[in-house]
Amino acid sequence: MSVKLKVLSAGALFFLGGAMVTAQKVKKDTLKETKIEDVVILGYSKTATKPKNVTASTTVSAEKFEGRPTTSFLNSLQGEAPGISINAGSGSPGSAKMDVVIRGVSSINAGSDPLYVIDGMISNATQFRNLNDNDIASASVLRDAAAAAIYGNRAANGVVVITTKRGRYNSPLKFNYSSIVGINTLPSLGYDIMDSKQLLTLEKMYGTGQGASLTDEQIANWNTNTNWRDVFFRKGIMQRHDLSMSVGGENVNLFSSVGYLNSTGIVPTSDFTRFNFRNNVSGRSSNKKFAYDIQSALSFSKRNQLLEETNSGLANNTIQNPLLGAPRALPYLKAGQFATGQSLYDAIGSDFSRGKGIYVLEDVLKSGHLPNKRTETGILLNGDFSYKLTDKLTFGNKSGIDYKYSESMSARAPWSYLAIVVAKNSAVKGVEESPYGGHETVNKVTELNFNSITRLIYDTKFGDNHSLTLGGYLDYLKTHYNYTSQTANGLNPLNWVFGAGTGYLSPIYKNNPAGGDPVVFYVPNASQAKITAGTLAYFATADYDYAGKYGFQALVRRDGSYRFASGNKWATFWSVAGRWNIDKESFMANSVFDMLKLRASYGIQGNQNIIAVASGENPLLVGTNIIREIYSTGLGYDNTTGVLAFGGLKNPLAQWEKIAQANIGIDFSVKRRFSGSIDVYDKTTSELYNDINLSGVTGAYSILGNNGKLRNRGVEVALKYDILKNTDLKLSVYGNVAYNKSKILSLTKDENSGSVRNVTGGLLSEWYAAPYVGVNPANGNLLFLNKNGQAVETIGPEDQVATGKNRISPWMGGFGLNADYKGFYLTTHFAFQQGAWKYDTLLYWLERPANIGNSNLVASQLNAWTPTNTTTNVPSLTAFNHQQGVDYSDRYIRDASFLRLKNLSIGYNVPKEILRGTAVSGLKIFVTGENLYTWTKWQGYDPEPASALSVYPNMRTFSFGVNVDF
Amino acid sequence: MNKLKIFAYVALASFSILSCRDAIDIVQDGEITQEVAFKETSDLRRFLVGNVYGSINIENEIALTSYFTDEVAIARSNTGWYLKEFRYDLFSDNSYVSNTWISHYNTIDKVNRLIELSATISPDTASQAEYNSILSEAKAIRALSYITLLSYFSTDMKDDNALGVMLSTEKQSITAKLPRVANGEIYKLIDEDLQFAEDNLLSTATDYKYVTKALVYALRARVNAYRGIYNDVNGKYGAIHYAKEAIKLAPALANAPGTTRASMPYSNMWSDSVQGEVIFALSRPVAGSWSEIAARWTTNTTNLSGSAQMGMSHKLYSLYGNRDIRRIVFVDATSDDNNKIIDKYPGKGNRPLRNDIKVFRTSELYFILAEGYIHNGQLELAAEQLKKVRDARLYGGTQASLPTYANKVEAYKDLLLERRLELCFEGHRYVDLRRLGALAGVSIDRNVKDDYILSSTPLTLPITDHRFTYPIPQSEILGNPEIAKQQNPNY
Repeated sequence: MSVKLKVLSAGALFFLGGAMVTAQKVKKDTLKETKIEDVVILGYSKTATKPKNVTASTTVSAEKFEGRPTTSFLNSLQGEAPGISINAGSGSPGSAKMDVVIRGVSSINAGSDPLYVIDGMISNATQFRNLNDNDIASASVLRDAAAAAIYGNRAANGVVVITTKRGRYNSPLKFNYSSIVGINTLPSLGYDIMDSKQLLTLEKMYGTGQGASLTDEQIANWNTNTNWRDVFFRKGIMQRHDLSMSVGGENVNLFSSVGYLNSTGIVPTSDFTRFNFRNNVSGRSSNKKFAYDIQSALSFSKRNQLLEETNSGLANNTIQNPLLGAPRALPYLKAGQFATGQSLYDAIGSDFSRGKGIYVLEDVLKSGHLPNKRTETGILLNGDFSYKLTDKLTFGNKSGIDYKYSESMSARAPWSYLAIVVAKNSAVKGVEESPYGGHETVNKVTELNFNSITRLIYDTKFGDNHSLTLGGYLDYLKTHYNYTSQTANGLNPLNWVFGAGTGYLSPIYKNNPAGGDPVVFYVPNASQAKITAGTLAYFATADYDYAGKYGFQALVRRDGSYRFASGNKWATFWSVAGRWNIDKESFMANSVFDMLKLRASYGIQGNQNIIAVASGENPLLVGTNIIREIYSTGLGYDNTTGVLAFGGLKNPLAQWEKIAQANIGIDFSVKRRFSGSIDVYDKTTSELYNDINLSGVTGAYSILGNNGKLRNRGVEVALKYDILKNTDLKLSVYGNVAYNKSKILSLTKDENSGSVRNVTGGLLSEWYAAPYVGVNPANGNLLFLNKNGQAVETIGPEDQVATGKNRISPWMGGFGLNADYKGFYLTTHFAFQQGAWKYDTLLYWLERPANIGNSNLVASQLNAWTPTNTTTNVPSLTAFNHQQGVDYSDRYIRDASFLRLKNLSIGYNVPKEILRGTAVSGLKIFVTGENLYTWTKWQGYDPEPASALSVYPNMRTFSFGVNVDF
Repeated sequence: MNKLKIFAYVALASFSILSCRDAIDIVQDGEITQEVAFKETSDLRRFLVGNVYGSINIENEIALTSYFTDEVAIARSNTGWYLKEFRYDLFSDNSYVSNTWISHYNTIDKVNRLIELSATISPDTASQAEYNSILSEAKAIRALSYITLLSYFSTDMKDDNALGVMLSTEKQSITAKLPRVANGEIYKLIDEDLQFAEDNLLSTATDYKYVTKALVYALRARVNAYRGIYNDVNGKYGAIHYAKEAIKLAPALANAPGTTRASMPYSNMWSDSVQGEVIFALSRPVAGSWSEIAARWTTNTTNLSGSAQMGMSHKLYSLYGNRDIRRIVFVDATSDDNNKIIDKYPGKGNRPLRNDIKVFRTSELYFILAEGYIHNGQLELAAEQLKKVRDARLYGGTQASLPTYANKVEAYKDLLLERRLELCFEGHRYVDLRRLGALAGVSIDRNVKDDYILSSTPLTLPITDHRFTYPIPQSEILGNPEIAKQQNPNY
């Protein structure tokens, strides 16, 4: 065995606590210079050198997160690691909507979010708007059972392990300042929507709307042609400033940072502001037996957002969602006609027809009319303490709290149109003839997560070549949640100020002179909720290494969850993994490989987060009672109080979803230039927790329960090649691609209606539709293929057939190029997804004849079939079967594949020689662009969000930045 | 020393595991179990009011009947809502059909649960009558749900051997999968339930928002009329007997004296300020978050600027005579030539779209009587009943003429016309057509203006069309696959 290999094996599997003790012996790392990609960060602060890693995992280092004008590090992670798909569901600044999936969606109803672990503490959050991405030293994506099983009960969907930056021992005081300023713009739509003259012509043709009453000449002379996109959207500005400091003495080191970020959205009422403070301290006793590592982070964020962001019902609402309203607004109407809500009410009353709803949207988006503000304060404190009882035995504990206080306030100002119209419509003669309008709601949430992991580690070497690490752990987690909400109905415009509590009205109860119930006005609402949740686990691990050539790892874990009935509360899960470092074999002595390793793992993990939650919510806090049948009290029939009602069917048999995963992988490195990994896996979820259909005779059509089996199989490849190294021009390329296919292996009952079905043998959430095959030239009706393959005009649910398509991309990945020439550098990063099919709801609206006269359509409708225009692919506007095409055919199921230039950066590192003699030790300036260009067939704003409705798209951002070390 | 250390670790570890159980042994605060909730008779009433009454929902039938038959026209401010049903698309995945089915089975389930809960309580002598009365109300409600289910899903209500619906009389396990049974079995339960209610309902039960004896008789009249049993057979009463009994207890027809709207009980009944001729209505109070029935046809308000989706059918509108109060009460005054804004549910207090949902009114009893007399060939008697209703609907002292019928078909036709005029938007037309349409030679009857967008939409459907029976909903078939074999014809 060569000397070089001995050095490598000295960096065997270690724990961070121990790492701090031994780090100096192994390597003199500085924070900035650490080749983080050589170290793989694993579960419970375990790390491994690349050759010794037995798991399928990828570590992404800090430079991928630095200098990005994004509000969440997840935006930067897209396409960087194989097998993880990250889709931003909303580009609203600071949005929590992020769909992150590792190795395919492994459940029908349960959450598919991976587990996030920050500095060794399990985070219950799925949103990271308050985590400063500049503080991240690395993010690792753990994909196979060997890597993720250690996190047991919530890691079945994979794990993202995040470590924040640390100081280092014996280093001088250093500062870093970075700043970025950028501009956000709304991506364009691919639809060819009509201008005024076109639309009026179409209306005339169809005989409804404004155009129907105009002559050709009047249409030709129509002057108004409003571009509603310009009315509703603007360019957003973002800026961020981060200052960090690090210093280290003999036995203590420190990293501190402060950050500020402000981003204004492209819709005038949306913005995001964030302040961060972080302080990471590590230290050790002088005999190096005791070590500690403490992170504390404080954050505060504030954002104003569209109601659509948290109310999915509004995504399809033209009067409250500008993303949908703008393309559908009638261009022949004038913008800006109504200065106040009252003047709008005087003009239209409560009639939204003929496109008048767009005036309401104008009113909704006026500053202060429908304010919706959220603030979030977070405190994250965690500490790791370890003590070496003997040379071989280490005792440690890691405990932390994650405290979050959030407050959201929303209101309808009494002077806004919506408040006025609702008030006017509720007026009662002789009681309250001109009631006050508006309402204000304040919600306050506190969430405290406490997690404590106690460990005992035995680490030994025997003989020349054997090393063994055994570990025993106890993992305790408890969550306390409190929610308070209050709503004031009726606001006095004289002194109401958003969030001030002024202008609230007292409720009135008066008899109605017309008879009947007394009339009530301005009744406030108050509610309160409290949830306690928790999990408990104990587990043991074993890691064995023989001469750096063979490695073996095993884990067994006993998991308990508060969710299940006593018989199912506890479950046992396990994993095994092994590796063979082929390059260490004598027959490989002269090969080109400096590393060639074969890995295999198998394990079974449990998932107790069996109910999916809204973006950003803690999955531990839903489904707090899925097993006990209970009764509820409340307001009963005829407003009787104190009544009892059955709380709904419950399933005492509910149990863990089980995910079994097998993985085989190869890691290699050739001449230290070309490296990569290849993995194949089979991941099978059994005891899927989802709807079990019931007969209506039970009082409900379905109940949630364990039912069915789902398989995801796939391949992942990641490659990196340093084309030019050690020259003035440095050039490297990298790329990764993953393929994943889902298949439903069993279900108690296949779905047999609806456009999205789960059927044994089919894809997860597969589209079922009758093929739309075009226009009947004889009469302009739509033609579909029925279940017998005949082209017909009338179809029903029985004609919907499997399409082999679903909304999830089987292919995804990313690639990029990094070039550096004498300090000038260029980095590019592309991300792609291929094979997702989504329902283009906006196109359906824009092609819907029933909308003529009420909203805009695409210009192709001018070419609709008529008795004199029979050779066209646009159906007759009066075809009777448009709705069947919408409900039962594949007419609007569209390809949402995309290739996106996610990031392009050009910068210059000022050479050290120039800076010599100044206080500045490093200086970098750069320009960067996010989401610069997207190649896609999808015509909507953005193919990326999982929801194909008109949600806030990912913005295109251009920014300029500077980074100074001193 | 070493042993001591090991002992210490083991002790520490076991202590921490035990003390950590609080993380997984969690029951949320304030959960009420059955044992805590049900201790005495008054708890049963709490459940009856809290869950049984609250579960009754007939809005799905009212809505689909109005769209599918000939009660509505597309309003000019329609933004695409309800067009599918209006253009006769009716498949087993229709949500109104599915919701009709589940709403009534939900009510039946709640009644069955109440009956089961009642077995856990032994009432003392003082509360025995109240205990029985609670069960009476529950059983009458169960009967109402079964009658409604049969009226939409049975292939032929007049045939006891025809396929009915699933029969459930007890709390079902979640694995329950019941077949459809013959109508006769369902009728047997309905009769038993209504008999029990008739025998045990307390005489103090007079509030029309709850079950009353008048409602029990009225339901017995309705179910017998639906069955075609009008006369007393083998010692069992028929529809005519029960209609007469119900009329004795029910409020009188709300007539229309004078000429101002505010002074007319018939008008005030619809705005819920008086009971009028309502025998049973589902209470939808001003306060609270109750359903808003008028939202089935409009968006914001029941006037021309309220963004109506559907207006009254131009054909139906044209059938009301000049002095017919219903033309004024059912159609909002702001209506124009193209939009007859439906105002049968005018809202109340500060809820422009909310009204009590009328389940049974006295006028229907006269129609049932008339139907019985027509069946018996007593056409003059039938004409008298219709005249009673018509007289009450004409304002300004006008009297209706006594109709004369040459034959039964004419009489049925006139009965259907009056039922259409009187009971529109109350969920009757669809069932009336399927019951009596063939006898009267009547089917859906629309005006060309009703679908002003597509002239291709037919103005009628053959009365034998399979869509005059609801399909067994797809959602039921998913949970109860065997029932697919009992699907109604042509679905």
